[in-house]
Amino acid sequence: MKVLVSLGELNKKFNAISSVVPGKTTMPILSMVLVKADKDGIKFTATDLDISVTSKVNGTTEKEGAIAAPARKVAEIVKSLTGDEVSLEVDGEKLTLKCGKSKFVVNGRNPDDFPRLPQQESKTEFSINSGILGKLIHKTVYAVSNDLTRPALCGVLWEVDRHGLVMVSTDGHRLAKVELKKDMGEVQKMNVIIPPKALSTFKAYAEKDELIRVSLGDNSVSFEMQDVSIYSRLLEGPFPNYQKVIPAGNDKELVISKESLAAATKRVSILSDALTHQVIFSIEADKITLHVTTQDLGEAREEMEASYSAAAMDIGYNASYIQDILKTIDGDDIEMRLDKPDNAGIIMPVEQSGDVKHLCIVMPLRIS
Amino acid sequence: MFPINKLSPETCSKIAAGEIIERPVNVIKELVENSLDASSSRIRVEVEGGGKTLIRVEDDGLGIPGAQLPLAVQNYSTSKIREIDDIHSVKTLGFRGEALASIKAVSHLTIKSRSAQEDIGREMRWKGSDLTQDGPVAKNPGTEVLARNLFYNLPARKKFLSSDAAELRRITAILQSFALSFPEVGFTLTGNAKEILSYPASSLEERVEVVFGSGVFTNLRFFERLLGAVKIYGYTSLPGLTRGNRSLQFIFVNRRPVKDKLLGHALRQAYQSLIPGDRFPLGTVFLEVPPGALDVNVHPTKAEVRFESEREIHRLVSSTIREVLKGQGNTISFKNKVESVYRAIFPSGAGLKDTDRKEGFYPGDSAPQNGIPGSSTLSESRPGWLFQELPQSLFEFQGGEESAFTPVRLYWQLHQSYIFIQIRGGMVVIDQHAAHERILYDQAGKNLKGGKAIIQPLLFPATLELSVEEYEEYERISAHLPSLGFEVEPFGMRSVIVRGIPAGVKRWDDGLLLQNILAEKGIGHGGMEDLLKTYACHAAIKAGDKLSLEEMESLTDQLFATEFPFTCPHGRPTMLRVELADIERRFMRTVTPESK
Ligand SMILES: Nc1ncnc2c1ncn2[C@@H]1O[C@H](COP(=O)(O)OP(=O)(O)OP(=O)(O)O)[C@@H](O)[C@H]1O
Ligand SMILES: [Mg+2]
Repeated sequence: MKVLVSLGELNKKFNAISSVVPGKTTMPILSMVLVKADKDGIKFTATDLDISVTSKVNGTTEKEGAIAAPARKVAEIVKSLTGDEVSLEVDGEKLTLKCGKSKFVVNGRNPDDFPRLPQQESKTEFSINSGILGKLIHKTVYAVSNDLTRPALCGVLWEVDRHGLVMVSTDGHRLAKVELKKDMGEVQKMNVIIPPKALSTFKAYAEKDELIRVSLGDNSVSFEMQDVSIYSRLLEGPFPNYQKVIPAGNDKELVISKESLAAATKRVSILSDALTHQVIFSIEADKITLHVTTQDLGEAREEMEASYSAAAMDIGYNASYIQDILKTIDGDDIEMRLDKPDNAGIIMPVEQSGDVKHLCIVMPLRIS
Repeated sequence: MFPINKLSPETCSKIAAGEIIERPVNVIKELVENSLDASSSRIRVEVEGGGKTLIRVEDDGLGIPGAQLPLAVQNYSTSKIREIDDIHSVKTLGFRGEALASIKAVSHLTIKSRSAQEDIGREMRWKGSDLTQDGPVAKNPGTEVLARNLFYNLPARKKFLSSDAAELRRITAILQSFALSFPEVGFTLTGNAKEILSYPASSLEERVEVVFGSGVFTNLRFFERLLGAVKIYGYTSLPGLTRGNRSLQFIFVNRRPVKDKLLGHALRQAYQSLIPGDRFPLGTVFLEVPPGALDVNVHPTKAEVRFESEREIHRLVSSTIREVLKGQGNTISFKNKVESVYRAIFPSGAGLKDTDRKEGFYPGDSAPQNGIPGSSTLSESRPGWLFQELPQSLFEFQGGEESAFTPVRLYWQLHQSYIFIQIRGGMVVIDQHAAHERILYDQAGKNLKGGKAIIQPLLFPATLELSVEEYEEYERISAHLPSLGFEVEPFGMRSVIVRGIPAGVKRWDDGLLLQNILAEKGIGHGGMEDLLKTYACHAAIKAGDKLSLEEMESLTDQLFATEFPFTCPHGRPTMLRVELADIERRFMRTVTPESK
């Protein structure tokens, strides 16, 4: 193999791909990046056996070939180089990098040793704008659970059909749901659960707005961007019936500025209990007061205007759940739809933006 | 089995592929799997130079028909599947048709084989891709494979191999693992013409005894349970018998040795609160599941599998093992001396590393230390010689501004178990589990007295199926559960439904927390005190839990806000203090008055 790549491009692509390389592994080959040049161009691939990422590299191929190269060392070398263009040349299991007057010969491995994840047949595919997809992911991925005993909750549920895409995540205490209404074309109806790592990797790569292709199979998902493709396994279901827990009868509506609620929650929670993060929301006509009293620590309170006309009540919330949710809601104002203080509350934007419907559910804390 | 044939390119692309041969033990694993797949009743393994110079595996199995031998060493050529869908029903250990081809690529390979239907065998030899010999050979039915000069063509890879003894240790371990899974097969291993292990065909019980040695065996307990189409059985150690790593845990799924995170986690759950978080039980777990409910095509080395219903499997494993441990007490019997236990496990003696020995196989086992010059004068009998226990009076926290902490606190987590904090004049080491136990115990105690716990209601209430004993326990303590923060109601026969859990609890584990509390014997009798301790112990973070900087900080703050920060509810210390002056003395630096 022999290829020429500009130093800037090499630096960027090698750095990005190295982030997929697992930090600690018992399989030395996983600490390598597969460098490959063929008629489709130059490509870097890295995997941790759960996800695999392949990134296209701009450059000229003088001779096709491949090698598995140690990710960290090569990234370090590339970062240290100065010049315009780097030549990468493979001879057996050695990779030679030349740039200006520097030359490095790095020991690599046979490219056939590099693990290839089993390619599963895709059952259905659709195209979507990467910026929109990234936003939907942002609104859901934070609420996944990390309780290994319930693997299905450790990922985000995607439900896709011809009329749109729904994403849902929950850790059993709160739930996030977004729904994109859109003509998805010839799509087969499918439900899959995607691990958060695949989604955050996608977000890390999706830097420009482009039309990307998503393929779903029984056990795998892949994201095809212009320069990068990401492949990941899915989590096993079933996902719990989330529709059952979305309250329908919450008729007490409260509207408040998102920024001021977020700032007040943050301030007041400084004195909240370190274990429960409980903050009390005292709601009355056109006013909401956040307050905490924690033994040994002290007390804090803050009053805000809000539009509210139903019966007054006190509700306890985990402040960090509220903060997480507020970070993902669009618009200036949010709406809370409440029922009794013991029941699940809904938080959503006052104005749903365009074709996206966004809704969060949070369980209040209760005193026995 | 089918005749050997080459898989179609589409099928190949769907098989987890990649490097399989990293070291000699991988060759042995593949060859022994082949022999087992060929229904052999005796398998002999011989190695020289830790397998680097020579590996020989001989069996008395079905053999390879002469005409098919050339195909056997080609990529993706197998008699075990024909198309990708066959993977869902595969019962053999192999299915990729890759092993022999990979071994041939990195060694000088010889295969002699004769199938039972033929009168004469065929022998083929290769040097890399060159066929150097091919002809008939007189032979008993069965197959003999020789791989010489491993990595002769890959000097870089050869350099990464360990010493002969270390490679042999790995080989011994893998054969022990196969021996457990296939007790009806006889195994022998010789290394440099010395017999290392020899197991005649036997029952599982006898096999477990020879592999673990009788000293360990008397401290293992058999378990077995059938749930629908899934069967689990095996032997597991009493809580007093543990090791510092997982190397004596052998887990099999449909007789395939696996390294599985889910099952490892389940096993650990079963021992929760019975053994320290950094210790591991010994033993062997066999799971039998319908092949269709399992994905074996996950990992190029076939060492991982994926289950269709992970959650149920997890529960089944941890509850079955937990059940057998119940009422077994914590004591183990010392029939044999420690050394002989080791010898039984590592027949060659190769496995007896100093680190193993020092770690203490049994609690209280102290072996001579070595290594650090002069350490014998420094080391007391326990390894924690560096640390003195903390005299309470030296450590004044309540002093407002005159806090013992320097304003900038530096936190660092050691082995995800201990928190190191720099303080004026030295450092404090906090045991994160003990500390969190104290915090939860205090908090729950206050709640019980004041009757005010904060409950986190669940979006999806959890239903728990309890055993008879657990249900009785539940009835005894149900009146106190709300003040701990649990909202639980009976839910038909021996089931309860949980609608809320104590706020801030990290280890709910989908119900396991409550189940483990209820599984503890007689907490209902021991009164509130016992319930509190049990709750604190199960709900607390464990050794091995990674903590962020904020979490370490908050844990420390909460600990010092408790009434008795220096001990856990069981009376063990939560922290140790190490004096700078003491460290200086150990480095033989003169201690000047200012540095104090
Ligand atoms: N000891 C043996 N006895 C009988 N047949 C054998 C033996 N070893 C290999 N074979 C035959 O050679 C074929 C190729 O073996 P190889 O180990 O390369 O692939 P495999 O076992 O089918 O799959 P895997 O790559 O997963 O091990 C086997 O399918 C089997 O038919
Ligand atoms: Mg095989």
